[in-house]
Amino acid sequence: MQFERRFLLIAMGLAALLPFVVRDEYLAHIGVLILFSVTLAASFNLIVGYIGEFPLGHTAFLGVGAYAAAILSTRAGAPIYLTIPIAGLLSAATGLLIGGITLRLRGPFFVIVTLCFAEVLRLVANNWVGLTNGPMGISGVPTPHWIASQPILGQKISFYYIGWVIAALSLYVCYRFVYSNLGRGGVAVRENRFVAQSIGIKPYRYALLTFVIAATLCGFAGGFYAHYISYVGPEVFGFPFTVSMIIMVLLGGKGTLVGPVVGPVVVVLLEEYLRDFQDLRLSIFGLIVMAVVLFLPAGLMGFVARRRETYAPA
Amino acid sequence: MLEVRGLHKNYAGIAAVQDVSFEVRSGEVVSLIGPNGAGKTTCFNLITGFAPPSSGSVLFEGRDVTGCEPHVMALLGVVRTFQKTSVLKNLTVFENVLTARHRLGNRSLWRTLLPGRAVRESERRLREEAARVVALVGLSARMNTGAASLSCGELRLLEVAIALGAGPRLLMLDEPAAGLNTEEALLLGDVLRGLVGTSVEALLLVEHNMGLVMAVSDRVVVMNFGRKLTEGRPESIRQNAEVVEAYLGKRAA
Amino acid sequence: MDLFLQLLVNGLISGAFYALSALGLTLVFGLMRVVNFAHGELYMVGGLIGWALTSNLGLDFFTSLLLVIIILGAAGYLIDRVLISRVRGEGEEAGILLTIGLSIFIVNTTLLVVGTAPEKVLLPFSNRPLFLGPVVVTQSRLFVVALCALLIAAAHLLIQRTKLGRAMRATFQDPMAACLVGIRSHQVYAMTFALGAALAGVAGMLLGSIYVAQANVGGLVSLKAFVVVILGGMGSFAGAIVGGLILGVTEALWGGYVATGYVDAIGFALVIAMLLFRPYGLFSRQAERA
Repeated sequence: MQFERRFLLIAMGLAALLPFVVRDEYLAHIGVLILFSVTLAASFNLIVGYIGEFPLGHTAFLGVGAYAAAILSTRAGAPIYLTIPIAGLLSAATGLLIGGITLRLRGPFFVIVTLCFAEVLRLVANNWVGLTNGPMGISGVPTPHWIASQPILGQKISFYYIGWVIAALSLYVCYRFVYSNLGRGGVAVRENRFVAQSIGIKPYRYALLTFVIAATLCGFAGGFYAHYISYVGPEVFGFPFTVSMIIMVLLGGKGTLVGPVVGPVVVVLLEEYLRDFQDLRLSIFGLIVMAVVLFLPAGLMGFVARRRETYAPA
Repeated sequence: MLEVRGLHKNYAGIAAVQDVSFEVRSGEVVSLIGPNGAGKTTCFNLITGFAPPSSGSVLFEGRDVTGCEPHVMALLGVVRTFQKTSVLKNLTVFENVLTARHRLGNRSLWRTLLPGRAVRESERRLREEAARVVALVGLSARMNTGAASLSCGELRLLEVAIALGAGPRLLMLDEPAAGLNTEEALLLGDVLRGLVGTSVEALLLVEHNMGLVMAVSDRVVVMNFGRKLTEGRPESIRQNAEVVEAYLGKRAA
Repeated sequence: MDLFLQLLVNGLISGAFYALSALGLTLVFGLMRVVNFAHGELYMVGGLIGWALTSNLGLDFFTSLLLVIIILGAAGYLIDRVLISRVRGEGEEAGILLTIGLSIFIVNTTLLVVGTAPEKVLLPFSNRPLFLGPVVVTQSRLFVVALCALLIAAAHLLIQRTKLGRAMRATFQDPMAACLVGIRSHQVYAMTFALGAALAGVAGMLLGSIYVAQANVGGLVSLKAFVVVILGGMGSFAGAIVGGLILGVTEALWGGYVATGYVDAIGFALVIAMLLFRPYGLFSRQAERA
């Protein structure tokens, strides 16, 4: 508990100070990517840690959030401080719907059906031209005035801070959830459903709660993504994002609170380093996933003791 | 307190439980005994909602709770243990019992994200109460030990502690003495006897260990082949010819 | 009415294709409890190897088919021995992640080698249309359907009638007991995976002659196979067939009568609807959590 708290505070503290030393647009962009990925990883990891499955359809929430922000800002002119929260809300609703159906299912079924949902959403985005502009996607998602009026570096740094706020919020929510009575309930459900039920915990309710929280955080990330990239297309529901999330969470350490920080840093830096290798890069990622599953299943931060509550008589 | 009327349970044509009725009154310790396969655990499942009865009813404090979901039964005050894996293996003794107190702690999402003094108080209280329950069953020495490292006897005590942690009014234990030697069983018996009237209002046991049954029970219900054979005080049950026959078989002619 | 019959026949044909392509997946899950996310990639590799053999090397169709079975079977055997056996005890999640990693690796390496261009496997039959009453079917499709049926029957016989098949079923039912009677379970698992891979590869080659063999079809194929398997029941042979036919016919009817854009979504909608109302699949095995 102490280690995790200190680690997260230090990590986010350093992240907040980073823009003061960075003068390069490219590095700022990497920073934004990392913060975006931290939010994604944190939300993905919440489900992995508490429900115990990998929700391959998690991009559904990313996409709903992204499209929500894109549509609201381009069609209704909504400002960024409204679009991102609403994106989160809509993703939460989507989470309620999808979770309501899939959380009653056993392992592989849960995994596959969430994937089906993401695919359906991708097809809808691709075909419902009236709403989503079909395969062309929605471009020209506006950048807020106070950002657009700055030079490029300043713009990136402004987005960096917005991303920082969202990432910090996500990590805070996860931390509070884990170290709480609710978190204990979630652990009980994950460890032994029968015991959980016999002490008054309804497994489905906790699974759904976790799922919706994760969906909301992912939705915020989606809204942020829309404004930062200025373009949202059906590929936001696609598998490549899922692959990223899987690798980040696996490598960082699934089910830990610090994994979602370490994983994205390593993976984003790795991706940039391997950028020169083009297509070989993705093959290497496939090998990394297999290697982690086979040789380092607990991930890089797996050595960190999971949440522990000790008792010392006063 | 608990009343079971005419419980039936069919599994694909086989009647696991047939027309079973009995009751547990406040302040009592009732034991459910019978040979293996008599349907005792099935009765537990029917009462606590882990399996719905094919017919019959279950009443708790006069309320019809037949077929209520297990967590609802727990919230009403009926907590049970299981024959196997009744603990959270990867947690310590303390964490197990602390988790058991879950329903008495904060369950609001908002207050989880923005905990104020009330939540901190509640958590502190929960931790103290959990420690007290651990002490009650005699596991204080193993407070921060992982459940996976406990001995068999200690595991059984932990199971009781978890169920107790949930603050039940009626505590239902499924074979709490399984795998215990005589000494450990005696110890358990002492613990159990001390619970009634102090921590819980009544106790319902399924047990094979006759020594324990005779020592702690006020009444004994005997089952065989899914039916209730008889019930009564422990001494009269011990001498009942039908009961003896159920366990040992007929005398050779 | 004529339109309906035509759509129905189209649907049955593509349904047969779906059935064959899902068979390997359901067998591997049913017998080994492994959800093979690389299934679509094995299908894809089978198709591309089939194309390479028939187009580039000019081998005749049946020889190529046999070679694809052997090559994919061997690959499946190796994948199991080298990768999957290491995570066998660790629950379903490890298998899922491992095969996802494998699928990423296979698809991208293939892209590097052959690029994205679609290819076609050469058939000894032409696309000449045959008229069966009011319905039109091409010769090539009919041929491929016949082969599908043959292969499905062969797989069924393998599992039900041969010593290996018996060993597979025994190991699935009770691995410990199977070990105790002398069945070498690691061999059996590897052979089962090999069978699943061979079926996937052969489906890829057959369908690569009707549609295309292309490096990036794997994802969609996997998804469709999952749909078929969930509809029919995980691990159920008959379920894969019925599930495949249902998917094929439903897609054809929807595409013909309503709209073509969302055709792919129909399968997913079916799955979702089915899990809402009948979570066990049509044939077997509970999908629900305890």
